[in-house]
Amino acid sequence: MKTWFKLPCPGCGVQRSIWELLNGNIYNSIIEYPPLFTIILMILILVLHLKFEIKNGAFILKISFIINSILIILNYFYNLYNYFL
Amino acid sequence: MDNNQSYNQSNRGFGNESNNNNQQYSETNQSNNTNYQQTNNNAYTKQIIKLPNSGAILTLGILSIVTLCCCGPTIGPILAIIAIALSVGVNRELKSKPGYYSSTSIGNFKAGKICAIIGLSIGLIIFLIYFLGVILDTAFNQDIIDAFNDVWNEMNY
Repeated sequence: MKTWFKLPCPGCGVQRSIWELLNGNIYNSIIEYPPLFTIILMILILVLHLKFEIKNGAFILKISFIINSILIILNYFYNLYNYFL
Repeated sequence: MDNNQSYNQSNRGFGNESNNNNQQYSETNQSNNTNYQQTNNNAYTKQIIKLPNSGAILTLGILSIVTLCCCGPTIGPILAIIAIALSVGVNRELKSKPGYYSSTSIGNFKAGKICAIIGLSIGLIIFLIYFLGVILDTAFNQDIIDAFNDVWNEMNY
C-alpha cells in the first residue's frame, strides 16, 4: 500500500506487531500497533458470543467496536502526522 | 393502542379463534413498543427462534473494520455494504412478526447494523484520503507536469 499510494495505510505496523506478539514481546507489539490488542479481544468476544450467547454480548461488542474504530483512526492520523512532518 | 383496537374490531368477522390470536398479537405488539425484555417474561412468547442472518450481519459489520488493518479500504466497505443490504430484508422480517424472534438475535442485528454503518463511513473516509493523496501526488509530480507541457507546446496554440 505504501509503495502504491505513497501514503501510510491504516494497517501499517500490524505485521511487525504480530511478529513481536508471536515472539512474546507484548509491550513492543502494543507500541508498534496499539489497536491489535483490542481487535484480538473483540474477535474473541465475537466468537464466544456467537457460540454461547453471552448476556449483553451485543452491547459489549458495540462498545468495543467503537473503541476499536477510534483507536484505528487515531493511530492512522498519528502515522500521517509522522509521515508529513 | 388505538391502531391495535381498530385492527381487532375490523377483523371480528373471522371467528373467535382468529380474534383471540389478534388480541394476543396486539398485546405482544404493545409490549414490544415499550420494552423488548417484557415479552421474555411472558409464558406466551418463549422466544427461541433466532432472527435469520443476525449473526452474519454482526460478523460482517465487525469484519468491515478489522479488514481495514490488513487490506486497506477495499474489502471493508464491500463487507459493510453487504451487511447493510442484508439488514434491510431482516428489518422487514422483524417488523412483519414482532415478538416472534429472540431478543439476543435482535440485539445482534441492531449492533451489527450500527457496526456496518460506522465501518462503511470510516472506510469511505480513508478511501477519500487515499484518493486525494493520489490526485495531489500526480498534480505536483514534476515529470507529469513536464510531459504535459511538452504535449501542450507541440500543439502550438
